[in-house]
Amino acid sequence: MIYFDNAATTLRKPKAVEDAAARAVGTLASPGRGAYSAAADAAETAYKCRALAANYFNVSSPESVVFTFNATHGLNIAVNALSKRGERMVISGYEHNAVLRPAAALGAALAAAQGGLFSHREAIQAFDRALTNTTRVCVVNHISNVFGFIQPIEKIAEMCRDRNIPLILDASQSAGAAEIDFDALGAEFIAMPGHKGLYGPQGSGLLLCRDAERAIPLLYGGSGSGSKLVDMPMDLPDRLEAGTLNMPGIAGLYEGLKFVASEPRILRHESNVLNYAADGLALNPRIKLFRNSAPGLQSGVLSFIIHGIDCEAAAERLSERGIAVRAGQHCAPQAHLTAGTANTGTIRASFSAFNTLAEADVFVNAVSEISRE
Amino acid sequence: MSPLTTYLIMCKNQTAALRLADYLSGKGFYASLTRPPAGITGGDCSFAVKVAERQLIQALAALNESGLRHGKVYAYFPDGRTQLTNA
Repeated sequence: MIYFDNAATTLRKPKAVEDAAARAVGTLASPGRGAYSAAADAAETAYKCRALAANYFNVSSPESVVFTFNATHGLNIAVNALSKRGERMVISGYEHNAVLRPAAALGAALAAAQGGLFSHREAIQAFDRALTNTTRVCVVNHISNVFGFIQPIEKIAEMCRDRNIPLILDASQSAGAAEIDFDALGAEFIAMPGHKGLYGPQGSGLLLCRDAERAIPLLYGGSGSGSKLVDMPMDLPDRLEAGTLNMPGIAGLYEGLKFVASEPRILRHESNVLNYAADGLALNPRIKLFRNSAPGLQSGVLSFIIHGIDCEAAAERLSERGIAVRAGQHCAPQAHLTAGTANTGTIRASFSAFNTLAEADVFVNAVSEISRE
Repeated sequence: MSPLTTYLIMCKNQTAALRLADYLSGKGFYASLTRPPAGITGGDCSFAVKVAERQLIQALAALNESGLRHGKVYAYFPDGRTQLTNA
């Protein structure tokens, strides 16, 4: 199978990730629950993962690195902590349902800073207008999961800092590929999955937190500390980690972090594969590409439409040819509204560190065949 | 005091204790994570870093220099008794 759905999850992992996760089952007990070696080993593994993440993302202390089950979990924690019913939440035009749905459930008053696709200038202008003095919180998708649009988060973060507006960054598509400096951005929370660009197992994720006092638990339960307290402990990470941790996931995530930390050119590689594939698709007049080859605007996520062929049908035909892509709304209806693809959806090919130009060749030929059917 | 007396540097949670232990180990101290006896914690779940008696003063000085915060410090005798110190 040629796997081009890495924006959903990276299917191919470094071998060390698979080995660590498999080894953890049966050897790592629950950290903080006992004094025996299997619990101590689990505690050590969890700590090393936090410490490496803190170093990689420039977080001042490992305690500020909270384990989650995915980015959605982390975003729900963050949105729940910083939003209130009826109060203004500024978002970009490209947010995922992992932001839109908890915001809707909370009754936040959403205001979308909508700029055109692949335009940093328009995005900055839109945020400048949207970040008013009544804004309670700003939530930004670093890289769109539909179009790969890399938003100007440094500038947006600067505006938030200047206006004293807490920022939540959705790093679902950027963690492990693009640079994220937690300290420099000054974000209140940064949520990321472990199983996409960090090449960890599914069921893993990280939430980087600035201030324990702003951390409101989403789950209440055992934390391995302060058991006599009725409330969750006040300190991070325990405050936001109720229940047993996913130790196979964390063990694998630790290896994934080591992999991305040692491979600084992953985003460049993904962009190169994308550009190679897009150059092939661009020769076909029946294909509409959502692409911008200027540096710094697009990650390894490529959406396109084949004129006259439903996107789901096209994805099915690619699957029959052994090529895995995603089609439809991609859980991000806001992005499609912004880009004008709400009625059609798109076919999305998303690349990883393990995809090759040879695979891109097969893909382009297959799309070409399908477009003639 | 018995040479087997150790000291427990209390921490707010396991991660904080591991961070302290990691820091002290990096500085050349023998420091390990431990769960303090119930006599100190009142039966609550807690974590501490155990250090040898003769390294305590320097270990605390190193922590003070690092800015890493910690809780109370207890002497932990071989017979299981504990005693709060002024450290």
